[in-house]
Amino acid sequence: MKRTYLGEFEEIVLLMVAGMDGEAYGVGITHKLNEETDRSVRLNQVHAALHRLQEKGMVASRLGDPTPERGGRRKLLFTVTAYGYRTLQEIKAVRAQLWSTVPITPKLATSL
Amino acid sequence: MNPKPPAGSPDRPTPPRLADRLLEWFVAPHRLETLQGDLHEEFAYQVGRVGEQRARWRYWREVLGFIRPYVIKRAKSEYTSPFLLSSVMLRNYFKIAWRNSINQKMHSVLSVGSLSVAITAAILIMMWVQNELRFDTYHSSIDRIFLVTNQHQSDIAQNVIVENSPYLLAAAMRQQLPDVELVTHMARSQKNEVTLNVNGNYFTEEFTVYVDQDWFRMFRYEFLAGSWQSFLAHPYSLMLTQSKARQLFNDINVTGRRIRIDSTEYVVQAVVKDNPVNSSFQFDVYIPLSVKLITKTQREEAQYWLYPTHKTFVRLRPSANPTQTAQAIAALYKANRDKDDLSPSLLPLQALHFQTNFNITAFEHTDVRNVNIFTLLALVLLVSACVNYVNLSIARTGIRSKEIGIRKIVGAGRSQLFSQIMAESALISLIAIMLSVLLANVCLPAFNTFTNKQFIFDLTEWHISKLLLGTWVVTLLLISVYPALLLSSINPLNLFRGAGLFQVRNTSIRKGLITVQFSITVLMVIGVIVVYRQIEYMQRQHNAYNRSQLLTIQVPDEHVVISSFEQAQEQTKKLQFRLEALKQHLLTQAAIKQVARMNLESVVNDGYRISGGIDWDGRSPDYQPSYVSYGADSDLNTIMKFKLVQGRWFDKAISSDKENTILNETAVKQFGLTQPVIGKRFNEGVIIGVVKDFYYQNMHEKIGPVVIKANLPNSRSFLIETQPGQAVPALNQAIAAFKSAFPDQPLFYSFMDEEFEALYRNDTKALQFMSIISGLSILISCMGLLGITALSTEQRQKEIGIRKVLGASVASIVALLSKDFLKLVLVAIVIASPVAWYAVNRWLQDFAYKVSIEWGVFALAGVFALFVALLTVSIQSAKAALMNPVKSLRNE
Repeated sequence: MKRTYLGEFEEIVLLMVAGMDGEAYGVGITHKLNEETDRSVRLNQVHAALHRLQEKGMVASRLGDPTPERGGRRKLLFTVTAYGYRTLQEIKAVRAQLWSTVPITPKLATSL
Repeated sequence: MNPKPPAGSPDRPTPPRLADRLLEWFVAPHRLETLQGDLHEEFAYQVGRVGEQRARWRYWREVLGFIRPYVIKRAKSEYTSPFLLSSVMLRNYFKIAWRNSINQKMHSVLSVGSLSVAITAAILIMMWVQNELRFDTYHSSIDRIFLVTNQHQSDIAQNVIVENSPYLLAAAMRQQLPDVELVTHMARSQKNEVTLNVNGNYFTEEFTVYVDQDWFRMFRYEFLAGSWQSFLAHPYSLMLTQSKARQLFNDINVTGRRIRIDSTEYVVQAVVKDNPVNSSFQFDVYIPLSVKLITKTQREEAQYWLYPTHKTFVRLRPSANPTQTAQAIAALYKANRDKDDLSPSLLPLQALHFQTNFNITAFEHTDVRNVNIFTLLALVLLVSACVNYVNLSIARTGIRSKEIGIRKIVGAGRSQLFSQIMAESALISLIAIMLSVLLANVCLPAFNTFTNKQFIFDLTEWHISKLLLGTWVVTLLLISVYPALLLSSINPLNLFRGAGLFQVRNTSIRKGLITVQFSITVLMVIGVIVVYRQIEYMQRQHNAYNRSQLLTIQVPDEHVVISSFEQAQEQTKKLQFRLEALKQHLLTQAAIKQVARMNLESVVNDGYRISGGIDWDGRSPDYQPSYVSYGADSDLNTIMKFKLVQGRWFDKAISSDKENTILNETAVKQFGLTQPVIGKRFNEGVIIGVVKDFYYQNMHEKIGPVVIKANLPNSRSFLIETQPGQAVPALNQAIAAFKSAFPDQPLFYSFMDEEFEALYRNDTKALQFMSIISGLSILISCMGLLGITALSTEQRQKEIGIRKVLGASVASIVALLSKDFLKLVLVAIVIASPVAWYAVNRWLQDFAYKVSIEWGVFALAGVFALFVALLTVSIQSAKAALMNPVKSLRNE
């Protein structure tokens, strides 16, 4: 089936957005990513990914509340769209399908 | 995590300001808030995690990382903004501009008037400048044409640049230099050498030229009748320009007509269009060069490599290098000439016009400095008029600001206001430029007389329309940009709050501009005064004798074929007898007071000097000074009234005086003669007198040594002094006497005052030009001043009314209103004086004898400027002061 290509990083960010259930925004995603995936991600990378996802129609944004450390500026909060959610599920299904073909103890290459 | 200090508290670290400013600048407005918020939150988090310093670094990195197209790209506006130059708005701009100018008649008249006056002057001047810069560009392959010039070392002067080369050079170059594509050379006649006899009427050509076969291959001529092939086919041919043909025959289809020169019949073989104004070759009569090679002697003379006689033009191949060609010519000289006194170089034809260091030249030249100065003057006038417009529009912002405010509140953006004011300026400048096209056409005949050129103001010519367009664009930029920026920057809130818009700043700019304008005026006035004084001084120095009563007449050379020495002597004797008889005959005429015979055409000498032929006791053998040689009979002094410092004048009764000499003071000094000078041997005779130095040429040059001798056979010039007030009858009598003594000979006469006028023609022209320009400059500054005072008195109407009611006198009110402006003029005088002093000093450096610059000149110019300014200002202020205060106070 035809679907929009989703990069690996985009996929993770989309998962984050889905996981944070409507409270996802740039800094929040960045921090969580850094903590949970042991990557060093920068804010502008996350923003760029979010921008691409929005262009693809997988996330929607709305304005949130201002906080003091933001200098009174509002957050841009992201929620996953139905299309985005379906895409995630499809990816997951494809992975599961593929996993099911992998033997419990596959032959591993002996030399590198 | 550390506890965070509360937001907004001073000790809470803030992100780097500069990075934030950068961010605010590049991020699209609709993204900025959330993006910057994220960044600040991250920064606060990082401060807690890694410390402030590193957080700042990270912040920078993040900001720079955001420089991406999607961040920068601005969102489309929700509302469609009308196209900036939509036709509806444009029409509205022009309508409003028109209404505004109708409402403010005086303002519009003053600004359009001064603009069009200045533009007219600028266009005319630039037309001249453009012509100078376009000299000779109409020939093809102009960048490959060069004139061979030579640096000449001679006894008289060192390092003289001559435009002549040896006759044989052209042929040698043609044969031996492969880089040379085409060579042509030409010769110019002696002054007044050629006299055309058309059916018994004599026309003397000041200069005719002799050209060879390649002349027409190199230079462009437009043939109206005949062709250059037929012209060159026979030596006794003539080529005339259109206007010359018309002058001689009253017709231009004159091929086949005959003209006699001396005793030879020439046939007109071609007629060409008049030389373009931008041509270096302003000749009207052309003769094939082959005519100079007809007799055996002429052919022999032509075989010389020695003397530089012909102007040699060369067209090089595209690949050639002019420097190498010049070296090749030097090698040719070395191989063929015995003397090593010429060093050649190639002068591009385009540079010929601005080359002013030739000692004698056949071409028209202009000092490139003049071109620069004139461009500057045109620009100054234009700027000065633009200053008027700008000044008046700024001054009117008070009135306009309401309109601008309303426009802004209704929703006009800054760019729209800007374009409105631009449109207004475009309208005004367009009107001004159309007016000046009319004015320029009116002034063109006078301008042509003044420049002695034939300019045609043809708008279809690209170079003319280019000029107009350029002037328009410059004017538009000068008058529009500043007012447009200023007016569109008005904050409507301030306006309606009644706050002073930008009063302080804009009056100081206005004052500055007025000061600049008046400085320019004062500068020019000082210039005019100094130039006038110098010319007056020069005229006064020549006033020793009565110029208006002097005329000179020359008997031209008769071209008689002489075959032996005895015959030549016989001829000389006969001529001498006839000339002396003529003199006696002239002396009997009633209107003629005195006659002297001279060797020179006139006592006015154009700097022609000779060297050699003089010897005195104590001269070192290799000392050969150059000097001016006057040969005259003993009657010269009764006319010229030389002041004798020592000794006596020639005496007819003393026969040995034929060998004696009289020197001027400079000659005594330069030749190193020791006292007693009188009685010293000089050539075959002795020195019998020393005359006080007198000016024999213009005062750009220093007086040189003058040697006066009394023995001159064949002195063909007659210096005639007329009875007071009888110049015309004297001339008629003299002409009649000549006609009877030398029938069938053209004769040349000139009045001495005309010669002196010619001597100072350029300087007088400079004076006229300066006067006109400074007059215009005064006019323009006064127009501006008038407009400004009109506005300022209008604004102060109420104040004046109240003052009057309280008992102020008219005089005190005029003083109050004029004081400010007069202060500006005073400052202008202070600024202009040193600049003027420098400028006139530079100008005076060209004169060997000059007036000193006194402080009086500056004072005079200052008083004049003050007077003019006062007059202008008081027209308005007096009107305001005389007005009935009831009128100004009743409507509140």
